[in-house]
Amino acid sequence: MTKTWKPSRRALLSGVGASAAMSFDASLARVFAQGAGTIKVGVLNTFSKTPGIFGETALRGIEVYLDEHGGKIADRKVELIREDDEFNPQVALQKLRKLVDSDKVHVVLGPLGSHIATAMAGYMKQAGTPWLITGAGASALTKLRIPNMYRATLSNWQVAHPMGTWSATHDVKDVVLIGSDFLAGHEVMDAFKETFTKGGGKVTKEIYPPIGTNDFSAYLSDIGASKTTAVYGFLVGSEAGRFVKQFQQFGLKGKVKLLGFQPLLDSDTFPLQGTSAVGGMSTSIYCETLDTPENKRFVELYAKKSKEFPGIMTESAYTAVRIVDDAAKAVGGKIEDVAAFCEAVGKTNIVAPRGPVTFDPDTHQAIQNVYVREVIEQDGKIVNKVIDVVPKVGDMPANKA
Amino acid sequence: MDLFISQALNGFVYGVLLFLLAAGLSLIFGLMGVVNLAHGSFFMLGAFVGLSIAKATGSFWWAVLLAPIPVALAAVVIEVVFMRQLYRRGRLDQVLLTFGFSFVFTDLVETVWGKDNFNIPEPAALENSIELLGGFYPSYRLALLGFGLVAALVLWIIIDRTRAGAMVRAAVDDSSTAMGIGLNVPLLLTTTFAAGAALAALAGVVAGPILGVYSGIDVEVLIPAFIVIVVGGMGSLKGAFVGSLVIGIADTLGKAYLPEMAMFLIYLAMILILLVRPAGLFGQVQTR
Repeated sequence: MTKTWKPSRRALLSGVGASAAMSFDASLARVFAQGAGTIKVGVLNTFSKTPGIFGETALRGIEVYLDEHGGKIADRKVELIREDDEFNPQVALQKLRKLVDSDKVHVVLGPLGSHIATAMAGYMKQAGTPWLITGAGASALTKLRIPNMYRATLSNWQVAHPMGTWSATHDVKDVVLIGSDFLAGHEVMDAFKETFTKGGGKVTKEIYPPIGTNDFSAYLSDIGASKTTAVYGFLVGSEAGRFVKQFQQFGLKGKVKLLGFQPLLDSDTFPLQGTSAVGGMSTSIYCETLDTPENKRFVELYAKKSKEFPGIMTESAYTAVRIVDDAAKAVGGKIEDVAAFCEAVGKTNIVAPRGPVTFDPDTHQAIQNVYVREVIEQDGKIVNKVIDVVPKVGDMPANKA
Repeated sequence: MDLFISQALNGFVYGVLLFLLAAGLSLIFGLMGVVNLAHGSFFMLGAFVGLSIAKATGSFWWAVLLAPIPVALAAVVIEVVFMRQLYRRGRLDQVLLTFGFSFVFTDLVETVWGKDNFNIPEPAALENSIELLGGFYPSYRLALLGFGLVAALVLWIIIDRTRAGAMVRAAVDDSSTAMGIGLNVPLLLTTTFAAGAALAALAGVVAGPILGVYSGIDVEVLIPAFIVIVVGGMGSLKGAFVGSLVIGIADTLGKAYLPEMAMFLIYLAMILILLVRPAGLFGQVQTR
């Protein structure tokens, strides 16, 4: 045939109608078929290498929630499928494809690394699977406006900039910045610097040690010689542990004020830091000693799993599952109805262990309290204590534009 | 205290730590011609064993005293049972064997102690800083510097002034001639291998309060140790000592004064030294 067939307008319309009806039937059938089945939760996090410890603590948060609720989300059994991204974006994408394409998970929780989240973004936008970020803090992630992505944890800007304002109004005249030399380190330092200098403070020096630095002696000698009143630091995990310890060994504790971004002084670094952390101050969206019924219950539940206090990774993962649970309940358990489920996630309005949590309707960043915390020794334990609250901090203005 | 002096001290402390590791690595290479890729594992293993001893006894000193022993025994087993089988099969096979052992040790450590980051607490007496030249410096690091210098001196006396040391030097220079004049070279190999491992383990324990104890530190310390022996000259104790201090100071001053270039400053130092002295500062040009 040489003549190409052209459908009439009527035929085209009816065809569209029929296929739409068919796909509606099919999706309805799927909803009913799976409505009673298990909910598959894909956990993509880092479980190996040095940051592997954070994946473990995040997973513990999910387990605590499921234990608390009989292993069910919206009255449906939960199957947790965990995959290790090895802190490597390429590995992460392979594992993500496995979770979404072959395991057909209903929701993805994770990851830890912002570089992983960035690598995931394009794929997740196409796949459309609901995705709650439980760790990655890169400020610009929520600028991507991925409809099925919600950040149930902090953004770097959100937590860093209130410390700049707070320090400038609390007798800190000048600081030396020390930030781990990767994206988050620079984001945090920039956010702090902006509000701190706007408040009249002066940044006298910026130091960016490479990732994997163990021995901070060169930087600490430098800080000691600079006669600065304060240091603002962002280092992660064991680096945070060692920096604070060596800060004391170099005789700086008590002479130079130690300020930091959340992971510098947090419950998972205290075992390494011991009393050297006492007196240090930091901001975070969570504090383990928050005096609220929600947090007390969470800490009690966590105590069955670990002898330490829960940290931000645990709380973020715990709250993320709570959000999934609530949203799934709101749509009558039909988590397969992605659009309705995502909408329900967006309407989240809960009081989590960290305090009230809602989502920004445009960027899907969690809106939450930022706490200014001081490290104290309480009943022989090193803990953070809230000394000031900045309520309902949202997403950064540049993301909203 | 003057900032430069303080930074130089930091460099020396790092240098003596490197020396404890590099000394064994260099001598083993000199004797066997084998780059021991499991040497970092001995460091890591010593640190973990020391960690457990320190926890059990509550004393840092017991950890320092006892941790090298099991590591040295493990080294004897590796040398006698495994390496010996491969001496006829060329050096590449031996290098691969030590590479394999580094994986085995990493797995062993992760199975026994997990993937967490640990800290060996320094002895209470050395916990804080002391006043020095009008400034403050951590007491533990000063003690470590002293200890490293004494260890270097003792090693030098053993290698340079004792009969056993003379035998080692002879075997390094020419092992077949040494065997020909009746030296028990296999025994020398085993002893040096074990002593090097013990030294690395010791380094692991004393570095514990500064660098920490975790799986993966083996590779992190091995790389600068390699640079040290390349700079100092393979097989030379003096070279290992001078190389350690050069690299330790270059690294520290780089971090302090040229932070953007700190990552490759030690490599730059290595390249410059190799351009001028291809066999390293104290290395002998191989004629074999």
